[in-house]
Amino acid sequence: MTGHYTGRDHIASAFGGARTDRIPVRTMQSFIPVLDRAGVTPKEVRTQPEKFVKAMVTLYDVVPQDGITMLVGDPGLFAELFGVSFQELKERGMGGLAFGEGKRLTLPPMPDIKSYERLHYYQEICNLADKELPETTIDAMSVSPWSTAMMMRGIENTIYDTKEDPERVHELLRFTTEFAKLVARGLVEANIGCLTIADPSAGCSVISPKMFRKWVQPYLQETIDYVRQYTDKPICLHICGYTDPIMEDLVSMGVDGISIDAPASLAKMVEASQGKVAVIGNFAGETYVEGTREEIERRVRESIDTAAAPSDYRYILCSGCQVPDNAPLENVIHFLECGRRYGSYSERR
Amino acid sequence: MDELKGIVENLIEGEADTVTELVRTALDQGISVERVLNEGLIAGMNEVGEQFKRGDIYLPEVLFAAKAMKQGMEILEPLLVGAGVKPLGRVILGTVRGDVHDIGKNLVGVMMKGAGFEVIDLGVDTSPERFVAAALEHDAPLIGMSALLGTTIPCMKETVEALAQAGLKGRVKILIGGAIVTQSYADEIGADGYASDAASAVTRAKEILGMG
Repeated sequence: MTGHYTGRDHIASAFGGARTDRIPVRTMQSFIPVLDRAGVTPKEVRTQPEKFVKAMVTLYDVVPQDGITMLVGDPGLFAELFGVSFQELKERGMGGLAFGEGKRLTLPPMPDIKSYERLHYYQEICNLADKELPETTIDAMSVSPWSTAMMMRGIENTIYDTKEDPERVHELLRFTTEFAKLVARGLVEANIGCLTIADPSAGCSVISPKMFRKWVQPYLQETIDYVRQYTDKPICLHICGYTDPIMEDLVSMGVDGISIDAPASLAKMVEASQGKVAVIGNFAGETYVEGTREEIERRVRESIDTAAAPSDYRYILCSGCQVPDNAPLENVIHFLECGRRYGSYSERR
Repeated sequence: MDELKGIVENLIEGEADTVTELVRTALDQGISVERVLNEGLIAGMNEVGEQFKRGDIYLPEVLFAAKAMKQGMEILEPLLVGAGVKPLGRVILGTVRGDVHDIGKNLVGVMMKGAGFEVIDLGVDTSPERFVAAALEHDAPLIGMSALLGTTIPCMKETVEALAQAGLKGRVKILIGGAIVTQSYADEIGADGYASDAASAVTRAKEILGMG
């Protein structure tokens, strides 16, 4: 493959596609820092797909990168699920929505994929973004059974329930698995280049490896296997926090990419991946916020040295998690520039 | 003192009902409330803190132990008051305005209680004014603030400034923590300390208050 490569080409190469001239470089970043520049209000992005995409295009114009994530796993999805307004959901929070007073489980009916308006909203966003940003990979972020359950029930309550009322947790997880399958299927039917299933509460910063294997992995596997039936697009996992003790488990789940957060070891992830999956990550959020230009450059070099060649270039240099909204954009731009420069194969020869 | 040993072991295992039972048994056997607290619950929670710091156990195990500690404390607290046992100190805790994440703050509360502090928990979404009002009302020497989000962390600085404006600078020490918080941020805003996790929050609190 020669000539001009697009961001889509670079990302595809990490998933086993044709080799380009450098490693792919991207972040997970919200459009919050550029909303004013885009002339879009927070309310508009929640209600008008074209405004959402305008904000994403503005972000891309300021910080161009090889992939861009549609951070769609927002409370809007759940507001409709529970039949409440977005504002009401914000005020009440997710905890307790799935349960009334006492112990009785009061789950809402599962929405129909054909009439689930909020899902259609995100499908439209992905389709519009695909047209507006033809050179960058549109990555849609979906929800996971475990983290959705934790949002609905509350982190502490869910953890206590695993000991005190395990059947209740299974019941909730059976529901959230169906929901995760529905959202993932809806998103892969849109014009996206990649699906990332985010499981922010499944890492060992929140639960133990034993709990991951018992409560997270079976339901997550069911979701992955289900969505595989509907797409050949790459499916990735993102788990926040520390994940070193479960890296082999993640690799065994048959996804195309694993996105790890800054507290996890990039070297361990590369070793665990055995060339079977693309490794994505794991630049620390605080370095975008507080790092000097030299520090950013040094850490980019370290990441690339650790992961690019050792993974046989199945590596995407990326933020470990969402870039903090208070990070100066010039730091993010510098990160991307350093990544492109040091990730160039000619530079590394 | 098999009961005290049993309290420690079962607290580490997070067996709340057994801990409750053993606390009652220990008191019935005439073991003093101070010993049940110090050699039972606090000793157990200290061990949990150490294991967590070493990475031998994970957050759920700490939460299960914390729940056992809480149940045990519910029996002991009225007796401690009756016996005139003074807390180590008083600390006000809260997650800052706009932020509803409380798991870390709650763990700090449990660890602080376990170490013998009296904890006034203001909950989540706590404004600088509420922190100031609580510090004045409870005459607390220490405030612990938590934030998880980039959008809410500036409220820590506002709270530090509000405390200074209320004339509490120096009188009330400030300890901060949370996923996005760093030591350099603590230095920048003039907080007295930063703790990266619940167990080290207790150590830092004691250091800041001159008990270390």
